Amino acid sequence: MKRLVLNTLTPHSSPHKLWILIQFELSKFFSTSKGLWSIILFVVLWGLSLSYLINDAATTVYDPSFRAFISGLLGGHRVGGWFAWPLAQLAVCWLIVLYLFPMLVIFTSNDMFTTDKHNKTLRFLLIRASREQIFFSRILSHLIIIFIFALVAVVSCLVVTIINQPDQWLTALTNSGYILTNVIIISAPFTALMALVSLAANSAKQAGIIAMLLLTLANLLVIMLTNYIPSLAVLSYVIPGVQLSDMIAQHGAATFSLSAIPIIQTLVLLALGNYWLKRSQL
Amino acid sequence: MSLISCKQLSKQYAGKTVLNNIDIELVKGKPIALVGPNGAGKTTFLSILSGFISPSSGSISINGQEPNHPQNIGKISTLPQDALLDPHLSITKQLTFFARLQGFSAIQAKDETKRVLELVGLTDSAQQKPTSLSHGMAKRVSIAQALIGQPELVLLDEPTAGLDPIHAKQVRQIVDQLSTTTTFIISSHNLEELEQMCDQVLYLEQGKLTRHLSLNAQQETAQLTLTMSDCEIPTLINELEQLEYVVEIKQKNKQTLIIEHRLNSDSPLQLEHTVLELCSRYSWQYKAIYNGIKLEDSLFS
Repeated sequence: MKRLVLNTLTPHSSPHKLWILIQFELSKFFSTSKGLWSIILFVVLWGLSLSYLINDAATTVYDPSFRAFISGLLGGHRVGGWFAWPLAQLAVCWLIVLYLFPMLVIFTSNDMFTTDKHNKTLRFLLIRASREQIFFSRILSHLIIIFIFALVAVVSCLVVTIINQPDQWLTALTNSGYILTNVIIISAPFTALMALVSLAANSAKQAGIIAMLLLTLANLLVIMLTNYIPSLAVLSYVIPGVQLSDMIAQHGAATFSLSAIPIIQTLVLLALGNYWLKRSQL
Repeated sequence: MSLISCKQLSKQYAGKTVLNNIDIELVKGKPIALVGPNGAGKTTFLSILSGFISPSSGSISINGQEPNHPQNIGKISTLPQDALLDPHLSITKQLTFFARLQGFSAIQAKDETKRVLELVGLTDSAQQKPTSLSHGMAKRVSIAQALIGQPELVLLDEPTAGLDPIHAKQVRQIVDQLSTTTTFIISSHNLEELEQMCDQVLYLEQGKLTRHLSLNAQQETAQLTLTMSDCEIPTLINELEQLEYVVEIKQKNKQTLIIEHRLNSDSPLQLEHTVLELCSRYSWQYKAIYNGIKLEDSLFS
């Protein structure tokens, strides 16, 4: 067989190499049992939400007993903003995606680096790509996975909304766009957190547990500290998802008013993760 | 310019010194053997060369740059010890992916994957997943990935450990075939194998580079390793000591002598002729006449 000589080829540019890495990660995710389990979990959860919560939203949301239940659950000051959503189906969709997707990220991204680091599989990549390319390709591929799930969720919700209120299609379409964009923004710091945690953990399960513990303990710690020194409440801004409860009250373009928090958190966590991988003995 | 340059290279793990002030310059050329006892630091040295780990102190450069420098990516290839391919994806898919990262187009990458799998005799297993392969087959796949493209430097950490004799021979042939364009550094405990393949030997001991031997360097004297099977060794030694061109005779064991002799360009095989004449005269039987000294004897005698 004729031997192809590398120096007769043009080395791929950095973005092209990044894209090759992303394509491989995506095909790996969707062809392995973990990916399939993620899809099944998502389809079941979203199917149930769509059938029992979103489809019946128009009658449920305006039901006084449901309003009382939601007021108790979310706090009265937030409910007003949430009820101001122009379409009931999208209001329910908004509430669900705000909390579902961070959990989905923790589940789907817990093995971003762990197994490959443990099995030293990363070594095969390190001689062909830079550590930055490997790190950011994995972050981007996991964000693309979340985007695909979010797209399925939002489009299915949009269809249900338009079927129920066909005259409101434009409003539904615009608000669906807001939801989709917000899902990516709120998922980004969780994805960056999972990259960092999966670099430190010894197994995917351990990475998931560490992430959950970190988030829970960080929240508890801030609550405790705030009891003694109220000004320390500012520390809560380092915790991914801190803005979620406030976002419930937002609707329309105002949903982006708190986007700076997850964007800054993402940038900080990405810098930490990239630094960690650069310093890692692989 | 040297291919590899190490200056005061050291590595510590948890307070233990694994590599201790390695100073070496290596140029492109014939394969280089890296030997030493277990725990001598061979794998650590290769891992630093590959850019998997960074040194604790000192410096290392390949082609004048750090191992991880973008200029070196794709030019250094390695068979990492204990590294496993992704268990979920076929060998072809993974090797094609590696080839694409090295600059091949999608079609070229498939051809390159076929070529390297053919080199290691694994064409029939191309669609299998790594988990279905035996240890030896998995090792050959790892060797195949190290041969993708035309790397300038290939680091092989125990390439034939766990391989059957046929495939071990195949690996040696591949190294021999590619060594005109690629510099190999091969770590192994199989000294005979290294002797066949390599020109230079680096000997690491307790993290220190204690020897750097050139196996084919021209010298004023040469050695002959003579193993007899039926012979009076004292008489043989006595006869050989009479020869004016014999410099020194060392008895390695009951049957083996290492004879250092001056080279005679007019009669390069004079010592061999004399040994055969002695065998004929005394009706002795010889087992082996080896031109040179075994690597094992060079290192440990």
